[in-house]
Amino acid sequence: MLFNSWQFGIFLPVVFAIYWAVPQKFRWALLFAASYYFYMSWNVEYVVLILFTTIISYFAAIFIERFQDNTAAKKIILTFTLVSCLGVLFVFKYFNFFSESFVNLMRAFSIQLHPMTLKLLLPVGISFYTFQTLSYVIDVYRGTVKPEKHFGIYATFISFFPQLVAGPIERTNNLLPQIKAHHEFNYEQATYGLKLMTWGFFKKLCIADNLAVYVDKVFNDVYAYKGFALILVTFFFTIQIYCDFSGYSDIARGAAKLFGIDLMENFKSPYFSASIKEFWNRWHISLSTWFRDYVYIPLGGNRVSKARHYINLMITFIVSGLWHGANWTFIIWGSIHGLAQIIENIFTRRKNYQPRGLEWAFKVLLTFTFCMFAWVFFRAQSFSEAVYVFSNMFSGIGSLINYLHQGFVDIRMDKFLFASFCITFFVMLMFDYFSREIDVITTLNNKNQILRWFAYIAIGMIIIFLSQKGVATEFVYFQF
Amino acid sequence: MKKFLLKILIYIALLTTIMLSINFLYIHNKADIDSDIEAFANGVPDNIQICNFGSSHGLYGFNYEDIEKKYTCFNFALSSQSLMYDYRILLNFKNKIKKDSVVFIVISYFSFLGKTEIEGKDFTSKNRRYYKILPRDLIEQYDWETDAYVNYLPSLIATPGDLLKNILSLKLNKNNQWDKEADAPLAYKDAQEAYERHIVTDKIDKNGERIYRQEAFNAIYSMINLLKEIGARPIFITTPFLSEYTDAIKNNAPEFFSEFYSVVNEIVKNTEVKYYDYSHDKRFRNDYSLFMNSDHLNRKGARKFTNILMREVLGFLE
Repeated sequence: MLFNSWQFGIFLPVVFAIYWAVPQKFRWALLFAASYYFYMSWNVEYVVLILFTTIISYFAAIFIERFQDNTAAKKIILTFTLVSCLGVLFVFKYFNFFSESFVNLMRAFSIQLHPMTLKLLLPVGISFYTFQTLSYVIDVYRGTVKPEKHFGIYATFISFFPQLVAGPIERTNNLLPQIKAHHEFNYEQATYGLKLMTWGFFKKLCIADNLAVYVDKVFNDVYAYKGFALILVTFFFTIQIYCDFSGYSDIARGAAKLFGIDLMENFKSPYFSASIKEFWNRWHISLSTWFRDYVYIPLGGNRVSKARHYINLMITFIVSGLWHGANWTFIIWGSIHGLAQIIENIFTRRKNYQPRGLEWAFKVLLTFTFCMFAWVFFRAQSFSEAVYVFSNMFSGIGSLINYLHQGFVDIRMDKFLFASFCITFFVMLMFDYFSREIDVITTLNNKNQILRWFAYIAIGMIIIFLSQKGVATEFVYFQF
Repeated sequence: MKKFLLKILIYIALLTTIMLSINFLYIHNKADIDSDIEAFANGVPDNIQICNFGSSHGLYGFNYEDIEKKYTCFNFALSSQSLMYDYRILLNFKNKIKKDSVVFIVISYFSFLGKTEIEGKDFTSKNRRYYKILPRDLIEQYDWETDAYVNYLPSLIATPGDLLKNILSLKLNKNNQWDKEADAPLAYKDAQEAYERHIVTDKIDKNGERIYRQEAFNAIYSMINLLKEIGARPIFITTPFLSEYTDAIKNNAPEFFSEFYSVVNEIVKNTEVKYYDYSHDKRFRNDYSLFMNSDHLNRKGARKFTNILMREVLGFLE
């Protein structure tokens, strides 16, 4: 069940109505049932996996607490949990990739093997709930979190439907207490949630989905294109993936607010970052902080020698790339981000320096351009496709006007569609620009009522008329 | 909670009212019917004596204006129409086709190539137009949501340009592409693109082998059987092309033509239906004034071609 489907349009109000109608003590049960129904609407069989991960981690946390004075026992339980949960993830997501990579490696040594591959569908959201589960168990192991004794509440925490399939990857300390807490209906919180959802739908349906048509057309047949068309769709993909993923996060956060639950912010205007480091502080924050807390810092973080620090950075980013997908392109994408951070680190003299004015604008543009070209590896199906894009994107630039014109001709973008993209893109850009300093939705709440309602109606009409119809397109991050 | 629900209801009511008003304006002001289904929208006549099916090669390749006074003619072709939809349209309109009528089935180079119908490019957008033409049981992957959009809320699936134009009743200059004339440089470029689109993209597998659509073969045999049941006379036709188009294929895939003709000859042998190939016809292949691009006749070319067909193929009607 996609957020952008009519099924969800019925599901959410029904769950909302029942949630506030039933007594507090039954609410976790309702959220649990709703979440599992939501997940099973994709594939009933894969509910076994999430249940398996939930049961293993639930008992592991309890046993870790029970053996809190026995470090060896705690370690064994933790290792067992990590192997079990990551094992499921490995089998479903990475087995074929490693099997094929191993066969290719052997081929380099003239050893011919046939790759053993599994024909398994990747369960939706497996990377997200696995990481949420792991953070819970590791936190219990570290003693920063008490294990949850109530299995139902714990299972609801792992499967809470707004963030189940594409995050934000919640931390125990933030979400679990909120699921247990007594909630009174809060008008401000609920209306804020709806406005956030509307904004998320605007980004997903009016920008991401419309750009996806051109991005998919070119990247699904990349060798048929060259020149400016490749740069155009790379730019479009840069906008598409942001609007798609941050749109999902906004809808998830907004939907959670309807139940009185605040999820963590996952994006903070990432394309207005003046450095790669800042970009990762603003992009997919729940994942970046997860890697910081459970990979980078345990490796030693920056409190080690410079060389070791850079190795830690590279390892973190390579793993982050691999988290996104079982393909060398994702590993390369992660690696170049890691490398960029190392280079940035080497050349940055004043650690907390904040550029201003033109310098800021230049650095934002530079960071954006870097991220844009790095996304080529993320979107391309293979390394050779990415190389083709880079080696052909400037083809024909000698005749600049013709080069630019031909790009638009090649992707066959209607001028009205381009104009509508420019308008929606500008609205998104302004929202993000001001979001760096203020909460735009709260600011809008304080404006004149007529102005506010005009804005709400306008955005509603834009969503109704400019969104793709008859096709409920999946969110890009569902594949992870 | 009451205030919250009330405001949501007001918001939904306002949005719905504005949306329905715009939709009403859109339908009310819409002067031009989608060019694709214009012929169907004007009504399929009864007792059709001459008609044709096919993709855009059929849509733009036939112009019955010189014989319409004498015979009841109809063009069932639509852009990118597959043989499967040719068959479904025939199923739906079979009662309109007269006994002893002549039915041209246009065979293009790509007619039997490609993945399955639903895997094809632009399947969703191309499939939508049949919601206005065919009953639901003949529509591939029918769904009520698309039906509602196409038949009741068309403004919601209109392109921004179309929406704006029709709401504001703007009269934008719309050149009829069928009246255009091709020229050498454009035809060359267009032919290269058409070659990629028709013969290569999604039509070659990982091993470099051409992908053939079994469902297209099934459809053509079903069409022939049905036409024979009706008592109509089917004829296979390949429409004329500019030399740029056939040369693009010959130069890039020299083996293609022998493969194509062996497939067609097999069908001809099995069905005993006559096949007329005008794709290399000297009266057309170098005359830009008869084409709108490398592989589509323009209005003038289609008129000439249709008249030639009447003389050379349908002499018996005289």
